Amino acid sequence: MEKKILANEDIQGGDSGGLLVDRGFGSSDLHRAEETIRHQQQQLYRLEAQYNELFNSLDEGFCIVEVLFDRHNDPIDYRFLKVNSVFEAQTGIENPLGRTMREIAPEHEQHWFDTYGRIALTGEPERFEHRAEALGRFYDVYAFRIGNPGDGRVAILFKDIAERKRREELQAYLLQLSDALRPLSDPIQIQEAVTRLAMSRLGADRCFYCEIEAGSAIIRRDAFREGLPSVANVYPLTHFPMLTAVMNAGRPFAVYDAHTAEILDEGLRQLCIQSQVISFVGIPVMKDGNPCGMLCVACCEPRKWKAEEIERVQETAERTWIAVEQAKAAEALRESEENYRAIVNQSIAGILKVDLQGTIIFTNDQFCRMLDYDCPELLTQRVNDIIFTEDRERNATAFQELVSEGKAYEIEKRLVRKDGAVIWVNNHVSPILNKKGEVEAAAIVSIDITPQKELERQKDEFIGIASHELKTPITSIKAYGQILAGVMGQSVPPTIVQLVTKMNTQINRLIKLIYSLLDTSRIAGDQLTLQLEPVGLNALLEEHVHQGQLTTSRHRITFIGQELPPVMADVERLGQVMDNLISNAIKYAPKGGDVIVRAESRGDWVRVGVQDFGVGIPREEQEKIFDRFYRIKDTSTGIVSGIGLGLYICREIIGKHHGRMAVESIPDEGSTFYFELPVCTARQ
Amino acid sequence: MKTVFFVEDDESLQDIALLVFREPEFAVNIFSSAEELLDERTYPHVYVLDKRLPGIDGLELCRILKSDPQTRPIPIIMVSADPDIKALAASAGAEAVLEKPFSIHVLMKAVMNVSTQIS
Repeated sequence: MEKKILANEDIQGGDSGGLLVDRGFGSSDLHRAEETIRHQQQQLYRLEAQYNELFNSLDEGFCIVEVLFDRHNDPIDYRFLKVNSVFEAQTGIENPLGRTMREIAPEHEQHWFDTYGRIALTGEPERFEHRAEALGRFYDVYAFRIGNPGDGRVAILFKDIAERKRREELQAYLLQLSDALRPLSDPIQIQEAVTRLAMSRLGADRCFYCEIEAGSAIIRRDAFREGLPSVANVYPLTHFPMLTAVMNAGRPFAVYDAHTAEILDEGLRQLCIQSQVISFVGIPVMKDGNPCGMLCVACCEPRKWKAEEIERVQETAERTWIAVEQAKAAEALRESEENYRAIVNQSIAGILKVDLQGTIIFTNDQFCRMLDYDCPELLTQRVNDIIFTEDRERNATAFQELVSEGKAYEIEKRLVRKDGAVIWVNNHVSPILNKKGEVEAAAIVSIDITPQKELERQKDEFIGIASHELKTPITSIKAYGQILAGVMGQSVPPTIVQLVTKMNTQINRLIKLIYSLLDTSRIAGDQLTLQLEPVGLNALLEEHVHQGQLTTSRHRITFIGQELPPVMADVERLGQVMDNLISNAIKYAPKGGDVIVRAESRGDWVRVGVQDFGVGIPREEQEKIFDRFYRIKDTSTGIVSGIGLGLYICREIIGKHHGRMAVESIPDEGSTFYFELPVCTARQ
Repeated sequence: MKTVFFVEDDESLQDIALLVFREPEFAVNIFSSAEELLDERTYPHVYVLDKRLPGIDGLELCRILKSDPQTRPIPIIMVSADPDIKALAASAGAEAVLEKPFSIHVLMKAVMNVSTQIS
C-alpha cells in the first residue's frame, strides 16, 4: 500500500505517462511506448527505493499525514500515510499506518491539528517546538505540504527533544535558584527562598527543608499554599524509625499516597494526613555518610512523581544544603570576627600586630587613643618611630630575639605621643607563627602604666626623703646609746647594761633598714652610682668571711678560693653584697653548720658563691626572691621576715657591675647564691 | 685641748656635741647657723659643719671658710645625711666627711685625726 501510494502520486505528477497511451500509436510504437514505460517504472522504483532508503536512514522521525477536516474546513484529525523506521522510537506509537492520531491518542493537544491543518491549507511550511503531553515527549518539528493543495497531505520531519528540553529547563531552574540565593546570607532566608521557588516551579502545595540535628528533624521555615497549616517544628526521629532508615540510606524517595505508602511509620502517616501531605518527594542530604538535612516537596493529592521532577528536587536539595552550610559558616565567621573585634576594641590594653620589620599592620582603637594618633596614621609608622629614643636599643634587642628565636617577651618602655608627651607602657610581645612554624609577625598587648609609674616615682621619692630625714634623729639616738653605754660603771645593775646593749643592737638594725630603703629609692631613680676601681677579690672576700664569722658561733664560715684576677668594682657596694649573702646564709640555716664561700675564675668571669645547708627555697620562689619587697614565708613557722629588699639590692648592685646573680637551691638541703663579675680588661 | 666649732641646727645633735667634746681633751662652741659662725671672731682647731643649715648651707660655709686666709688652714669635717656628701664636700674643700648616722667614736676619731694632721 505504501508503494502504491507513492507510485500513483509520482506517475500522476509525471510529464508523459497517460499522454502516450491516449494518442493511439501503432504496435511498434506501442512496443516502444511499453519499453519507455517499463524503463520509467524501473526508474521510479529506483527512485522510490532511494527515497525509502533516505527516509529510513534519517535519525529524525518522518511521516506523511493526511489532515482530515470537518465540514467547516476545520482540522479535526490526521491519518498516517507513511512513516520512517525511527518513527516508532521517536513517538512510542506502534503500527500507525492508516490510523488517525485521535484514535491513537485522544488527548493529543488541539494545537497539533490546527498547525498541520494550516500548513495543508496554506502550503506555508512551519518549524516549531511543542510538548506532546499524551506521548510524554517534546518535539522539534518541521512540517510542509506535499502533493496537490486539495490533498491535505503534510510531510512532518520531527525529533524528540524531551531530554534536551529537560536539561534546558533544569538549567533555567537552577539559574533561577542561584539568582534567588545569591543575595541571601541568612540560612533561614535561604530555606525560605528555596522552598518557595521549588514549590512554585514543581507545581507542589508545600515545600520545606529540614535540618537533622541531634536526632531531630528541625523544620525552621516552610513554604505552603494558602489555607494549609505550617509544619515548622522539631520532630524527634526516634518516633519515625522507618523514615530514619530511608534517610540513612541517603537515596531520594517518593511517596505516591501517604494513605497507603509502606515506607511511612504509622505516626508519620497520621502526621502527613493531618498536615495534608499526601504525596511527596524527600531528598536526604548526606554529610560524612550521615543525613544532615532533607528537602521535601509535597502535594495535597496523590501524585506520580516524574524522574525529572525528582531530579530537580535533588539538585535543589544539594544546592540548598551548600548555600545553607556556606551561610552558616559565613555567619559563624562573622560572629566570631565581631566577637574578636568587640573584645579587641573594648580592651583597655592597646593591641597591635607588627611585621618582622617592625611596621604596624594592625592596631586597635585603644592603642590609637593611648598615643593620640588616628589609626591610619599609626599604620604607616614603624614601632621604632614612636619609642622614646633611649629605650630603642633595648627594645630592638628583645624584638630581634623574638624574630630569630620566636621568644616572647615582656618589656617596660616609654612611647612618645603625637603631641610629644611621653607615656610608659608595659608590653607583652608574642610571636605569630605561619603554618610552617616560622615567625611571621608579632602580637603586642600594650598597657599604659604611666599613672603607676608616676605613683612609683612618688613612692620612691617619699622613701628617699623619709629615710633621709630619719638619719639625723637616728644619729642622735645612736649617740645617746653610745654615751649611755660609755658612762655606765660597775654600780649599774647588769639588767640595765643588757637593756642598753639590746637597744644599741636595735638602733643598728634600724640604721641598716634606713640604708636599704635609701638604696632602693636610689636604684628606682637610677641614681645608684658606683666608685669603680680594680679590686682584688680574695682579700675582700676573706675580710667579709671573717666579719661574718664574728656574728655567729653556731656556723663555720669557710672561704675556698683560688687566686682571682682583679675585677672593676665598688669595694663598699661589693662588701654590702657579701655581708648580705653571708648574713642570709646564717639566717636561713638556723641550726648552724657550714657556710662555704667559694670563689673561682671562669675565663673572662669570676664567680663567687655563698652556700648554706639550711632550709632552701622552693623552685617557684627562686626567681621571685630577687624582686623588690618580695618576702619568703617560712613554711614551718609561718613567719615572714625582713622587708624584701636585701637580695633585690644585691642583684641591682651586681647588675651595675655588668655582672649577673642567681640562686641554686633545693628545699631542706640548702641554697647557693652566686654572682659573676667580668674580669678587669687591660683597657679598663 | 682641741677647740671644736660645731655648726648644727638640730638641737639633739648640739646636745650630743656638748656631751662628747668635753674637757680636758675638748672645748666646744655650738652655732645654729652659718651666719652665727661668720659673726664669730675667734678660731677653733676644727670646724664640724652640718651640710643642711638654714640660710647659708654647710657647703657654702665651707667654701667661705676655705676662701678666707684666716680660716683656710683650719680643718673642716662635713657631716650630712646625703649619700653623695663625699664628692660634694671634697669639692668644697673639706678635709673629712661623715655620713649620718655615724657613731660618736668615729666623730671623735675624725676630729682627732684632722686636728693632728694640721698641727
